[in-house]
Amino acid sequence: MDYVEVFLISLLAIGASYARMALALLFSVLFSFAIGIAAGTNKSFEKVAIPVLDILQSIPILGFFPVAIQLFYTAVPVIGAELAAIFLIFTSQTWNITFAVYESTRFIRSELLDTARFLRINLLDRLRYLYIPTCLPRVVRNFQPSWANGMFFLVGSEILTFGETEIQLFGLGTIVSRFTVEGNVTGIATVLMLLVFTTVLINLLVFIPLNNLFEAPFRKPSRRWEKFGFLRKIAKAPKPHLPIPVMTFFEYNRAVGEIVKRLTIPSSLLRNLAFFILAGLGVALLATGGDEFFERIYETLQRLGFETIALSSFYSFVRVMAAVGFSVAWSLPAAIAIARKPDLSATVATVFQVIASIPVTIVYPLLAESLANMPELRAFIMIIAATQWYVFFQVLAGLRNIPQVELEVVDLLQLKTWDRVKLVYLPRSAPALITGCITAAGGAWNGLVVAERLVLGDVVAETDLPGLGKLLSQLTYAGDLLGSIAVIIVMSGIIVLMNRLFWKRLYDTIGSKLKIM
Amino acid sequence: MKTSAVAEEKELDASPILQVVNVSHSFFTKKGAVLEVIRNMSLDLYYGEFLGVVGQSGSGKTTLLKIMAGLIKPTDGKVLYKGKAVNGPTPAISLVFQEPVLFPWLTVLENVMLALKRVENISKEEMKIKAQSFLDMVGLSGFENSYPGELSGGMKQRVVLARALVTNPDVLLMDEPFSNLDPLTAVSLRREIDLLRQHETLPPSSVLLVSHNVEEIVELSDRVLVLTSRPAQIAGEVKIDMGKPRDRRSPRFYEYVDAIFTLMS
Repeated sequence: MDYVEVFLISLLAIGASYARMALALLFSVLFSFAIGIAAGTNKSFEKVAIPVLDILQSIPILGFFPVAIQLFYTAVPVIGAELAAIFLIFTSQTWNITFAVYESTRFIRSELLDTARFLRINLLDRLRYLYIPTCLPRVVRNFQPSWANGMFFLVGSEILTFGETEIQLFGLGTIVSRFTVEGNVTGIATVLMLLVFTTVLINLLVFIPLNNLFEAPFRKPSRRWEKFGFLRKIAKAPKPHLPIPVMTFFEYNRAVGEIVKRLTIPSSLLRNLAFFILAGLGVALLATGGDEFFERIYETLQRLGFETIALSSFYSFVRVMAAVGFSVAWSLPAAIAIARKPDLSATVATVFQVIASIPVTIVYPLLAESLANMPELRAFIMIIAATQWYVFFQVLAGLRNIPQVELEVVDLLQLKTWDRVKLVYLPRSAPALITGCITAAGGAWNGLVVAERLVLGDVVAETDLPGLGKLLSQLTYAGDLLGSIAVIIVMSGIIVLMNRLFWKRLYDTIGSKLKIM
Repeated sequence: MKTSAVAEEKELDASPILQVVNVSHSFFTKKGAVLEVIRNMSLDLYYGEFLGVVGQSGSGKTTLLKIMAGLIKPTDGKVLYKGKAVNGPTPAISLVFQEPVLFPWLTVLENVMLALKRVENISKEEMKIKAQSFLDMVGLSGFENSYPGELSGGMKQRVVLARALVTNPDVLLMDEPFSNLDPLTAVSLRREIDLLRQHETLPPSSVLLVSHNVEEIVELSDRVLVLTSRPAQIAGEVKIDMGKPRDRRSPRFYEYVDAIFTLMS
């Protein structure tokens, strides 16, 4: 294979993957508008939809792929595999957009709604002139984080292995695994280069101009950027950086907080009721396959061994928390250091966002060699890749949202750095920090499936110590559907319980302690 | 040091404590254009003076105050405090914003103590006593352990005032501090600030009040500067020679108000 061929194949593969990503993003936007606007305008739908969305977004997406493949593949054999891949990418992109639409619609000023009612504008025109324009800025702002998130799972969704069945869809994931198996370092390097290049290009040509379309804040053009005048011309605005994304859980928390504020006791009752009804529905669904199915799950758990499950959960839990801890440890000081330098934080945010949208699963083959003897470190790096950006961007966004007057008072009172951090920056960024941690923990649990056991063609890289992700991956590749479902149930259970019993309580406690809720 | 300053004060009654010298300032708009806010402005604030500055909304009054407080570096020109350049915030010059800015997670007392953190050689206990005494002075005894969220707008503005005065500043700069208060609260707060300024041992010695409310300015000021609209320049000066408290309904009062309105339009 000569180099031109390698180059062309790589380019085509990236093109195919991007096409899938774009389609999935399109479906995400359509889904978000439909569900988000419905939830934002219809109060009874809201009460059901928001808790359901919450649970859906916290369940490990990658764990669903055996089920999804089977469903799509048996339904429509020819394009089923493509649909399954697009569906999997969709599930990693859609939730934050849906919450953005929901929140924007939900908090449209009542004067505007009254005016629309007064003018007797029909539903179609209301969508056209009111709901969609209101949501658009935040939807567009969520494109980039959604895209980055989708990239992480792209590789996993293109190689659909399930027992005997293995379908490889032509794309980034397959080409990298092919090059890895062939030991074609030039090939991997070419794909990586093209990937970085196209990622930068997409950011500059699509995401940045789209964002600039909707906001152009009052800001002095910096000298640094003047030097890169050509970039500015590409981005067509004096602000060639992406706004700091505000991600899923933040929006979720504010949304739920709003509902709770309105209907304190009934709403929390309702939420829990909805949760239990959903859980009940799940049980009922399982039960429709007969008691037998339910028993078989139990038997499967028994077969896998409760001790193995408990140990796997424990190690995975430690990995996730270590990743979150690591992310907080560097994000907090880094964000505090740059938050008050607008040019620097804009530049850093842009660079980090580009880095974040390069999937670590692709970079992995380059790392594999040097980290061959350190499987835990290797897994840790992968989890970090799915974790740290959430924390950093959330904290940065939180710090950048500190009201200007408060910063002026801090300057005026000549507070020393440590006092500033302790008395103002930390309290003001605390809600964002916790939101970032929740999102990061969710991302880490999702990432475990890849991090603890990465399969690229015939190359398998796994941790020595047990883990839920590793277990899930092993069972999936062995074609053990029941086993997979059992592990997913355990993993989802841990995530949902952690969110309910730990993170949200922490969020509420800190919120009320800081008197900002 | 302190005694000599007091002795000098009698002698040099007409010497400025804070001077704005040829200050110009511009902002950049989003399209990269330059927005000139202040053009070549000079003004003096004298010892013991209550100086009013009026101008229409958006005339750069707030920017002027921030420059005087050392928060913003002017594009051109300088600010002198007792003849020395002001290059950043200093405890000697306090600024009160239009909105009362308090940190909601700190108690009223802690909010006031924030201003004392920069003072060297002061124990936590002394900080508490000092902050408490200024809270008493602005009439907030008993509220020291409340949180800002539990206070009314007027009370919050009093906390801000206590925080601004707790470092014994020579100069108090105020940016429309009464505009968000209900009329009755505003009346009593105005009176208290004026009494404080007249008090010989309590801070501050000089006050600069910025407002678009001409009656308010005439009621309090010894001298009024009228600003043009953007870019701000000084359109004229009115000295107010009336005893205090001033009756807002007296014909004399209205002559001053009219004089200022004439300069403004």
